[in-house]
Amino acid sequence: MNEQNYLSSQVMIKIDGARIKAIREAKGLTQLYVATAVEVTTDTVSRWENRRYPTIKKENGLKLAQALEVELEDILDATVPEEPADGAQGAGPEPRPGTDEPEPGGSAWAAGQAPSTVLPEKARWSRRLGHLSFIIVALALIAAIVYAFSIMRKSPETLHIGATRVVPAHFIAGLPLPVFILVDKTGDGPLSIIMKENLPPGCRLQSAAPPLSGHSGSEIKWLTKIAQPATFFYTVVTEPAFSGTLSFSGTVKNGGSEDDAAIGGGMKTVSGFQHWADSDGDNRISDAEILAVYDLLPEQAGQIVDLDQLEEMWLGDGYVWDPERQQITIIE
Amino acid sequence: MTISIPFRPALLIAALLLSAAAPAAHCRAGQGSATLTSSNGQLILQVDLPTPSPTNLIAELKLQSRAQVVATEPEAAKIDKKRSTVKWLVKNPRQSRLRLTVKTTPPVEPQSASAVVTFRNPSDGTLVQIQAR
Repeated sequence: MNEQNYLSSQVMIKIDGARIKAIREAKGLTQLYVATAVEVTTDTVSRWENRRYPTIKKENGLKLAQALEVELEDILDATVPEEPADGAQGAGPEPRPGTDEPEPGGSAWAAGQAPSTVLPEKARWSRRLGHLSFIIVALALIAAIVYAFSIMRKSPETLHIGATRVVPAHFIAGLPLPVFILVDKTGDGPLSIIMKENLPPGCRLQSAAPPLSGHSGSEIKWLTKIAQPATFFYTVVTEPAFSGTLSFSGTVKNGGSEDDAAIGGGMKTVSGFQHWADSDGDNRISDAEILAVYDLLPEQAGQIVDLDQLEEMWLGDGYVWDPERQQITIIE
Repeated sequence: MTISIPFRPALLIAALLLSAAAPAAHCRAGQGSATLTSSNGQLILQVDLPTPSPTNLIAELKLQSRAQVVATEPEAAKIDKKRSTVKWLVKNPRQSRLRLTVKTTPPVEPQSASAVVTFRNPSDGTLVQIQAR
């Protein structure tokens, strides 16, 4: 095919579907016959007749006219001039190879909205807008995925860490008072934390688990890594003559954070005559109370808290605090 | 119309991302159970722990008043002769099924004994009590 023939085959013409149908029916021809003669499918012929494909290749137009035994001019839409080759792509539906069917999405015509005139520029811009929209959506998705991965990579150090202090409501002055700090974390992997507690005036530190990283004046601190939620634990003791309230405060932060977060939970405890584990103050250690203590205590706590005495109190019928002898008497 | 098709792959990717981010369903926790049986003259309290397993638990067995406890396995925390009770404090149970046995004279039938298992729900700290059947 030389260049002139090629250009000729690419010329698009606008056909008059109603007239084609009328001619075909008047001559008693079937769509199958016409389709076979033009070398397209019967669906394509049907769409030509129904104006769903108002433009076709001139080459097919000539075959169609020949099949209908009329001149090409007899099947053309008289209202529209022929389109040149360079305008064919934008002028209407682009035929697929071997057919006159347009590519999906190629033009509004494909949906049956046959315009009265050919609008190549509009169709071209419409397609460009489609491509642009796709690129924008793709870029937005890529950005979202990159952002999500960056968050996930930072998670071990930047995700939220929470610390809750559990301090008994009351204690007996002169006996060890345990304070628990439950540290919760989210995310996988170990998390570096710095936790500081300010001991209230009137008490002194007796022991801590895990071991402290620092102890200066009334401040104690841990610098450590935790791989899962952990319980920190320390005991303080007051003078036997102490009477009043102890107020605790502290902060925690993870290694990747600039800001300290206050340790939540209990802050105050009052001196009295009930053991710290006797939460309801009825001078008995109930099943619920000893379970609460054992569930809180880390494994190391057995060396710090007198658990044997606590179990004896639980197994007994009650206890009383003898201030003069500074000891607990268990009632059997 | 002309821009609807390019959106389809984007919607597909978004749907895939959303489905990947959906949290997995949690398994329902078991409730736990306790059963009293006897074998070879021994009273057996079998405890099937719930899931997740409690950190510590207390089992209390009440016997007939005339029964004398000869031995327990594992060793009980307290044998109260006055109340005819045997109490265990089981710390960090490592198996999902516990067998607590008591040998008495005369032997006690399961029908004439009762038992209660107490623990704190690991999820929310609430106290749970299971009556042996």
